[in-house]
Amino acid sequence: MSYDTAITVFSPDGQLFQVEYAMEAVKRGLCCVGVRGKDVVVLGVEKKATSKLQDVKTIKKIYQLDHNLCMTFSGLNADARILANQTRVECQSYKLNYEDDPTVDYIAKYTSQTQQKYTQKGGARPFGISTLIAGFDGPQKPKIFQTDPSGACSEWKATALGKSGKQVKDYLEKNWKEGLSEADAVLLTVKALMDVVESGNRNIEVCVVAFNGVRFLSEAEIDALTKAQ
Amino acid sequence: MDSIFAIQGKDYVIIACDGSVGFSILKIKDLEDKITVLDDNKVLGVSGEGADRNNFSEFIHKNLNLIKYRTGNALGMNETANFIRYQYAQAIRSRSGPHNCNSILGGVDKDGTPSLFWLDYLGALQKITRGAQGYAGYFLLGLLDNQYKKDLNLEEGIEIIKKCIHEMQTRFLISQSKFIVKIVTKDEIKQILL
Repeated sequence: MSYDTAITVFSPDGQLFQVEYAMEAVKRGLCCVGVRGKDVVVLGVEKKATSKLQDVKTIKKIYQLDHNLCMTFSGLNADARILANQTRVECQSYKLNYEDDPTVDYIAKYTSQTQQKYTQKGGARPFGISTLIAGFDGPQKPKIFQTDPSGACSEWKATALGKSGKQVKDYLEKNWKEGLSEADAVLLTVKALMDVVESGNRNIEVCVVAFNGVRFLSEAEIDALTKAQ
Repeated sequence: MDSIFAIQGKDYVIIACDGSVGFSILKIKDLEDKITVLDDNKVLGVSGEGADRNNFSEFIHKNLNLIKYRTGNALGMNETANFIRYQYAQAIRSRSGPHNCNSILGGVDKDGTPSLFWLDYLGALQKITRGAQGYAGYFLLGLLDNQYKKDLNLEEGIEIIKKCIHEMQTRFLISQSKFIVKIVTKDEIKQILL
């Protein structure tokens, strides 16, 4: 057994630099927003086309983990894909063992636990993403959880990650209120994103998570919402 | 001991199963649903001992879910059948042993084409238009062959299933009083009790 392959080690003043650098990667990532409504959760994320030749429609940054559970992120795209796939397996594994759907906080804890493991793993680096996990614990119980590269996990009413995350969070703090309808929650999400994203539907992906299932807004719907701003 | 039988019509498939669960000389339950809904357009009828039947169908169901969320779309009928067959085939010579159950997969693809597949624990796969698993085959294959014609409509299909049930109840030594029937069309899966 080789005990010397650790990458994430403490600094003399008690910091884990690799984890902090990972959080820097998140801060540089494209913005994502989550808003909890009365009986929906809305996730919105900024997409960026690297060139005019790229088909932005095919970039999917909101991952569906289960029939009414979604995850989005800020940070390294590929890391998110890996974490999402692992979490999808856990969702099905839980259902196979316990029959019921897992609660959102179970899945969020699982995701954050995985992220923490990689801060103590030999030969591997932490995941360079913070995630937003949106789902339901029951018919009128929508939840959003946030995880980060250190493995921390917390519940939020509305939050934003990534570049200009602070700015968007301030906007949400001023404008979020309890019991938003689906339309209002979608509007708030889009408005919050529009603050920091270049205009045009090519750059935003929005998803509404309801107890019965998940709905991705079409280009036309996003167009209408962004034009109305 | 389980009877599973199925028939394919013009734009639907019907799979029926008996509801009885036995333990030695006892009938523990008479309304056990042996047909698992895998998706909104496919069902899997499994015949075999209780634990293997349950474990296998749940295992397949959760793995198909995983594929659905990983790739973004559900598998079509042919892909699903081959996936299930592969699971049977891998298990047959594995450390944990074969899945001690046989199945019939039925469903309707998005374009409206219905299909029915017969699979057994050894990893055999056959696309069929009518068939049965278990003892039901001895009694019903002849009847199904006789009654089947191409492009049956829904009423005709249900009539044939009713005749099959009557046959089992009349001639099979083991009493099977209740049958659960699942009808899969492009838009929905309906369950009736006969």
